[in-house]
Amino acid sequence: MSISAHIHLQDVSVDFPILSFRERSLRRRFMRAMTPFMARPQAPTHVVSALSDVTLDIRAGDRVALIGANGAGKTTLLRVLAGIYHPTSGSADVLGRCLSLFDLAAGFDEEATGYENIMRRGLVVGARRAEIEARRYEIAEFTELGDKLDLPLRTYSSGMMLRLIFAVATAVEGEIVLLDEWIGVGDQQFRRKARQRLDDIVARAGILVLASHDVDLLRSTCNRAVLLQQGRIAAVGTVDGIIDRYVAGAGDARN
Amino acid sequence: MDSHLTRPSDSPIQAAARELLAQGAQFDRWGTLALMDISLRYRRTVIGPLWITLTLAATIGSVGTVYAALFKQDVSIFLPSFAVGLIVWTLMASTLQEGSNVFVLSGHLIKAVPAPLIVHVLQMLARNVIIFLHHLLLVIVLYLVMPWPLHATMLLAIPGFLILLVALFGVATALGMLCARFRDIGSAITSGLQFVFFLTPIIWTADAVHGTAFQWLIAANPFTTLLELVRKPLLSQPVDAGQWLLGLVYAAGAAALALGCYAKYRKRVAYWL
Repeated sequence: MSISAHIHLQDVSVDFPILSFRERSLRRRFMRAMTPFMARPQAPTHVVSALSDVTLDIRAGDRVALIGANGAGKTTLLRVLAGIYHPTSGSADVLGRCLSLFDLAAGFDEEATGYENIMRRGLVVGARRAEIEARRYEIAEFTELGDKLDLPLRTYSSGMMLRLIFAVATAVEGEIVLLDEWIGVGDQQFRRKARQRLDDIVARAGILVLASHDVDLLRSTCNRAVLLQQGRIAAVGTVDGIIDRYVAGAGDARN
Repeated sequence: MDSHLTRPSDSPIQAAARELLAQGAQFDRWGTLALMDISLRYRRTVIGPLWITLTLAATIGSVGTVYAALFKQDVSIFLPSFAVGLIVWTLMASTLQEGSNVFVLSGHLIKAVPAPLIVHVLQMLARNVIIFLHHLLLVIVLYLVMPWPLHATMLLAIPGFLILLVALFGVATALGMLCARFRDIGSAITSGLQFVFFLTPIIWTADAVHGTAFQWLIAANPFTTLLELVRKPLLSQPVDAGQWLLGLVYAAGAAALALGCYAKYRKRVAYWL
């Protein structure tokens, strides 16, 4: 297990400007600047705070469960950790190689063959060409798709496609594993194999951050939990404690 | 995997420059992606990207001969100049046009995978250069049909081309960011480019406006300067030092613009998509 991984978030906020069509127009800006006396008062730019003042310290060995309702900021937080969103304010220090296991199909092309897609996705996530060529057969073997990997992706069934996507995404390892819902793919036999691989990756990783609604999975996988509510950290604690609180809160909200 | 960590001591400009250089050096990454883009786009055709070359050849053949007659020019002089001009113009126009969409079109990838933004620009530029290389076949064919004198100075087309690429890269990066934020610029660019096309000596020659009030058009138009740095050497015509200097200034300006925008806005682009 890697012990160097470390995540430190200090007062992280992520605010999305909701740019309406009007605010996206440069012409309109120009007109307003040219004719100030005619300008109608400008509607304020709407801002959605996806995360506010999130401070969190995650150390090697932590298996963090992200818990919260839809829209609470779980995915945004994972994207901040992955380096996709840079915080609007505050600082995010992420030490260690991140393996982000979400949006796994991004970078795949319908027209390309299975093998070509292995190369494409690999390059898109930043692997070097030689590195991918070296691992190509290993990935191909894991998918058990055989000669079908020479066919274009559009001929694949969705199950076959998921096998390929999963195999490519998990071909590399990371010191920090970011998961948005546990990935389960394929038929019974492949599902077992995929589960085994994911378990191995998680076991070797220094840090796991898992966003999920699957209470049993969270209990069996994680050793810490963070409860997110409307972009803020509502509580940090043990998995059982936080789940109880979340379930109780969800019950209250429903009544 | 790309680390999104920078050295804490870096200024934003230094960090941006470091990222640009590091990604620029990863030729295998964006080069392979660009090659794949092209091979996928033309997968089900027989002659692949040569289709665009054929279309261009038809334009050059028809428009070139008609204009040569209209302007009472010698076809064997006008046609090579028009052909090279149109081929270089195609590279400039398509790079700027695709450049203005580059981040918007890759939006789903940018929000899904942590990767430096500049990869998308490099990939787009490489794709257009590959298509340009296909078009160069036309120049060779034309040379075989109506040869013009060749000198060793034609090798100057290579530095000229590099200057052009740096300028295109810089402007495309800046435009891509601007168009991610303001979506109405893309269409303005398309019509603007059509306008510039007629202001650039492609279907007319620089000699035609010599001594007229329109001469300043040639002097002030960066497209003309950058075009001539590639065209004139290829046609074994001399390029004066002033043009080289001006080309370098444009390239440096574009590079500085790209660096500035990249340093300031690369972390914001994902929010605009």
